[in-house]
Amino acid sequence: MRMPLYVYAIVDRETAMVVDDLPGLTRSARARETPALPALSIVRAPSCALVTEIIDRLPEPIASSLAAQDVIVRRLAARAEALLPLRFGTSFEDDAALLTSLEQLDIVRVRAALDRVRGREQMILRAFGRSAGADMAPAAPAAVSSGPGTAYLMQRVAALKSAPASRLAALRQQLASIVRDEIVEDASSPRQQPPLLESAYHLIARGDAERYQAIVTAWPAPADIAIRVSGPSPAYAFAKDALS
Amino acid sequence: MADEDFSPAVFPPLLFDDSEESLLDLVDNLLDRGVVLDAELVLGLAGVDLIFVRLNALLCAADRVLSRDGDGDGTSTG
Repeated sequence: MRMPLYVYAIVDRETAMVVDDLPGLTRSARARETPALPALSIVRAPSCALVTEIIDRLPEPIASSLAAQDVIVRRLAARAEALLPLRFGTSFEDDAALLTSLEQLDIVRVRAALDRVRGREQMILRAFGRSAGADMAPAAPAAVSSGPGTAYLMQRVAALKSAPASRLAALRQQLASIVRDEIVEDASSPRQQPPLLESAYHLIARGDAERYQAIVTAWPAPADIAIRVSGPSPAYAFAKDALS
Repeated sequence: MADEDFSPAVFPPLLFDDSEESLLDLVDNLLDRGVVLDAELVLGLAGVDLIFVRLNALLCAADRVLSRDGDGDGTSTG
């Protein structure tokens, strides 16, 4: 009998973490009929273990579902030494299909990915412009025959050339003593309101979030940008390409 | 948007209310990041245009967008 599996996270194969006391995201009819049946369970593969839930249907991709899964993954992360969150919506027809997919994974790579996040948590640092278009340089002279698309692209090229290499560079240097790993992304989305200019994802040791926040709070941001910090959270950004 | 005071301050200026802040991180973390065991499987079953959702999270609540645009055709007026 097929039992669709929804997958929340990858953890160490040898994990001793207990999950059967935690509620799931979309409790199956079978589980509702048997309240004593645990919602979450551990499935062990050669390379790792996964936290799963038997489901009837996929959760809707709406804000409340995202928030609920975030709560579940945070609770799991608090119990695991190392945890790689899976993307929302990850599910398989049954445990056989899941294990077949896992057979494609390289054991060494999986363990390296888990070691990268072991004992750590994620902070996110974002730099926003003051208003829409703040990062747009004056339009460069366009060819007589160019259309609006070409003009826009030329303006973006001018903006990229005039923009500083990293608006967060100085702050990231201040944080270097407690940051264990880093991913920096240039948002390049000036038409948002307010425009998101740059994001930095930081891995810090668990328990260092207050120190991190204190450094950010004390840093005098330039007048043309605003800084926002969030976290700690499970290491989503460092799981993204871990097994690709 | 009101003209915010962006002079250096002790606390980073607040650009969003708490709900928009948390929504941005939720969309970023859960829809755009995390391990992908099977890319086609995740995108197909979730049925969501992830780039579209991420961009619109900054303009309006994603649940208003997703609940009315289930085909995820990526169209946006924002």
